[in-house]
Amino acid sequence: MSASIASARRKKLTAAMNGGAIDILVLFGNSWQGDYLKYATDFGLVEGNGIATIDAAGSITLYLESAVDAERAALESPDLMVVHVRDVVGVMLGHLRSAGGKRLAGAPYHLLPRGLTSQVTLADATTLVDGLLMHKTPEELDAIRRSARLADRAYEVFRDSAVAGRKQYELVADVETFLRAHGSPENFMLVGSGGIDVRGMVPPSERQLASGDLVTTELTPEVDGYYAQICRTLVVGQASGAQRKAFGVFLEALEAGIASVRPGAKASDVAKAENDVFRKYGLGEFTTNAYTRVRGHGLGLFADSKPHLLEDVDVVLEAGMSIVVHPNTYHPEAGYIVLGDTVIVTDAGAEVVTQTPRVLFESA
Amino acid sequence: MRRGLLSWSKTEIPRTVFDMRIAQTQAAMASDGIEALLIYTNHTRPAAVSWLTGFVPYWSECMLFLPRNGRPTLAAALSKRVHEWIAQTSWIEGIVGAPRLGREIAKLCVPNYAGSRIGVLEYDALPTRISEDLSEAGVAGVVDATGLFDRLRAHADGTEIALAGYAARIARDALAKLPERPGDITGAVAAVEGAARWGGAEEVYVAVATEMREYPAYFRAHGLGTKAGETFGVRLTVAYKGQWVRMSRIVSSDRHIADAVRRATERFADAAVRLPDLVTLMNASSWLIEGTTRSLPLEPLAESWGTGIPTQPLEGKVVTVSATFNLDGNPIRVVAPVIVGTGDRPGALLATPPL
Repeated sequence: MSASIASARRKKLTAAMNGGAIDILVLFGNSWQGDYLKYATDFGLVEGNGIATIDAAGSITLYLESAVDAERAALESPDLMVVHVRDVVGVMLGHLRSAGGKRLAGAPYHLLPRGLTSQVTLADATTLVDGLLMHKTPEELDAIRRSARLADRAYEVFRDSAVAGRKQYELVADVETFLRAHGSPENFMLVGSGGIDVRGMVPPSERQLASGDLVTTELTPEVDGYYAQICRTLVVGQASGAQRKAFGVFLEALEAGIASVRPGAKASDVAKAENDVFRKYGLGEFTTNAYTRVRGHGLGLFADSKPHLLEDVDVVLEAGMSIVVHPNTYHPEAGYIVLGDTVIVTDAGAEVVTQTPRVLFESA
Repeated sequence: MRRGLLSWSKTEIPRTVFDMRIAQTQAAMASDGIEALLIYTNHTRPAAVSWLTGFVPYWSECMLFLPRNGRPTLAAALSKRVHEWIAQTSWIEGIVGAPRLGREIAKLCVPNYAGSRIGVLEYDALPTRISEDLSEAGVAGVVDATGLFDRLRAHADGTEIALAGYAARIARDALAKLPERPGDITGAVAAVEGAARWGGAEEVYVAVATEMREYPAYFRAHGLGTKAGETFGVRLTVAYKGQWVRMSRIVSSDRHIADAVRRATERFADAAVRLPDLVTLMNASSWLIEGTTRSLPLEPLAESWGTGIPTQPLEGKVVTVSATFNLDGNPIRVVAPVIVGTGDRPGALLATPPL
């Protein structure tokens, strides 16, 4: 990752700690939810849990329960004090108990081990760190643009690989191989293939692509620590009239969602703009949680950050945020369709950073 | 966050295997006076729930509820639309949607198990919100059940050994694709990872030691432009149907070092098959033994820089051994999976690292 981005983040974090009267901040992470810890440490966890402590001067100690991740951290993050411990909770307890009189806080609080929070008083610093994660520096946004460019190229690989007879996991293997070859260490990716029997996307199976299948993916590579996401749908062979007609609704919804992105708009405004298009076509039922999870979400050091784009989320969008807008859901006449682009919120509105054409692709 | 093939092969893991493991767990619960067992799982900690059910989470978090008598229920924070997929890739019949896992699990605990002992695997590591939700809903009598699970998984069963062997062969065959002179190391990483994924791996992690003579430690080669040295190593971690192994391959263009690698691999094999006797392994300058007992797929069980004493008996376990031998002044790190011997069965490498 970029040392300058990491250094800038650490300064923002310690400034926020000082403003929030925090002497020691405890950050938890793992390979699923690693963004809070990565914000301070610049270290991406692969195996086991990790807990970092950062003091007001910016000095960081990283406790890791995986021996191999600890070895890797010592090489990849030489500015950190790295400690491999089997009993992370026990060692952390000793460390924090010896910090008598210091003001302690932790994030994300809900994921911190209970063995810690039940023994030591920690203030909940989740909201404080969430603010830092959402509001990005120009350098962080540049990393997201780089990630978006790689996402576009990876989707080209996906399209080329999505041929009749190919198994889902082989398709994903081709994309992951491309991403590793181009320096992306992580990627969050789901797929779906089939017709009206398919209600969503999941990890790859042995299902073979067949002529006429809708093939969906959300593809989320990491570059320099930051994720960007692209969602597209293709048809194996020629698209049917029903598939084209259904896709038109998603295209209109995505465009409406992106058009509503501007500083001062709420996350709920973007979701409503997308959902209103479905309602206009009598498809409002398919914007509910029976068929879809969110209408987009934040992106950054995590592939699914705050804010979630839902009609009951009132987070106000501000310049410097990055989100993916994706009206992904089930269509009763075609099946599950996805279409989404990563955008950066600017003073002028939305800067769309993924560039793949918004079309229903047709594969050989 | 980048799983590969996730599917339940009823040929490789018949339903009867899961039935047997559940029965063993319930017998252990009875022995410990535990009426219900709670096991948390997420992307990082899939091993315990996948051993009991076949379910491997790719995102979010779940919790398994296993009563002493009866069938288990999985509370899943994943979208309800994914429940069908969970049912297809595991044998779990009871799945409930649970945006707040603790609250949903409490609904299963409180009416039927008031006053009973409820065990939680790795209780201290349980996320705070789940613990608080359980308490607020009146779940009491919670005890740590980690020791129970350690006993259950003291020895690998035949299915585990077979699946670990398959994972080891995926790793060996993928490492065989490693270019001898890769130049930019990211290309080598991609070649190995791609081969493992095409081989059906459920998860793949690749780490590299770009110049093993200088420093035999592995890191992730992300970012372009990292060059492979004269003697470089690749360590591949592969999961297959819930079984995790690691294996390394060291490539050197110097024939003397290549010979040292061959000798180090022989020493490694000799030490590995003698496990659980650690004496031969002591010839290595450093070593690490990892295996699966709880929720982490590969947990450190013993290491030379610690006490050197295993946290639990190794007999009959599938473990991954990592050992560094200093030969002719060259540190050579060899990593491979091993089935540790027992009184009536010798130990064996699950696959030999390619040279």
